Amino acid sequence: MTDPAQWSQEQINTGLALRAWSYYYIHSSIRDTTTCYQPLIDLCAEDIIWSHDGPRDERVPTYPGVIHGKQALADMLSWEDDIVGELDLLDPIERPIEFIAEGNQVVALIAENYRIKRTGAVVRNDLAVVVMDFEDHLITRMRIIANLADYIETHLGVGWSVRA
Amino acid sequence: MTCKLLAQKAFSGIESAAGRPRAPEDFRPYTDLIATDCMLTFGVPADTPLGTALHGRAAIIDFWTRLAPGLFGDVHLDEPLSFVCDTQRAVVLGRESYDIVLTGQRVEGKAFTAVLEFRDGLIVRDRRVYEMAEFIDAHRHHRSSEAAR
Repeated sequence: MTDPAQWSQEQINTGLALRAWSYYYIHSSIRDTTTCYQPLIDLCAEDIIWSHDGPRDERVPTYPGVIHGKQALADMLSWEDDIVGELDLLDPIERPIEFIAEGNQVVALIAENYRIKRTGAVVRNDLAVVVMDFEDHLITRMRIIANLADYIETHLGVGWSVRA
Repeated sequence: MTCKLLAQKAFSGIESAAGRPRAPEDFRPYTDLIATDCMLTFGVPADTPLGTALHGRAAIIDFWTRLAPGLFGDVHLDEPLSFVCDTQRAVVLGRESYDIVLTGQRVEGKAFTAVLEFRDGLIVRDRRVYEMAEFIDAHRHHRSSEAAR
């Protein structure tokens, strides 16, 4: 058995990343959203920079955007629960979160779906990418690359980019 | 050769095209590393272009060299690529700007990711994640307009 003291930086960071995103492994129907994000928040540095890529439009709240600081991230996660629900992995057995680690970076690949509460539309993300930078066992930067097309369309309707 | 070196080699043509519009021949280093049974997915909704997986080397080469220029014009890499790799997989991260050929709209700084899996030094799986909301919307809008006629 491998001595934990012998873990590489990549192994240590992957373990931390798995803990950060562990709430995905509790189905949304039984997940307590008042506490489930705590491991993620605990693993964030106070000055974490969180970003979600996407087209900027003042008519669309929060996504995409950049958030500075741990408290702001916690507030955003709470806000997110009012916007999207039934956020779950497509399949925790067949498609668990994949982690690719090198040096101080870990990339998580997440296959998820969720429901947009405003419209009831179900969005399937075959792959969302989360790039995490670690420093002293804390996440200092987190960048999300995923398809926001359905989320934006829910707010602005089909043709939003053509009308803009 | 490590996954990182293979990924850097595959994308060397794309990187060398930085500062000028991308050309089909810039994909040569990538296509040279495509396995005959490779699968390419784009991670965008199924009801839009790129919504279906491509199977096999010939289909993938045909896409990048013949079909893609009909969807994306004047493609520029916006920043140097970055790579996160383990022993079997490589994640390539970048940003690019392009014209949506359907509408002529220019979009800039669009993030993309390629997750490459290797076997015997060749790419056997390439999963892309493109943040391309404008492209998807343009095609959905076009399709709904056509259907309304």
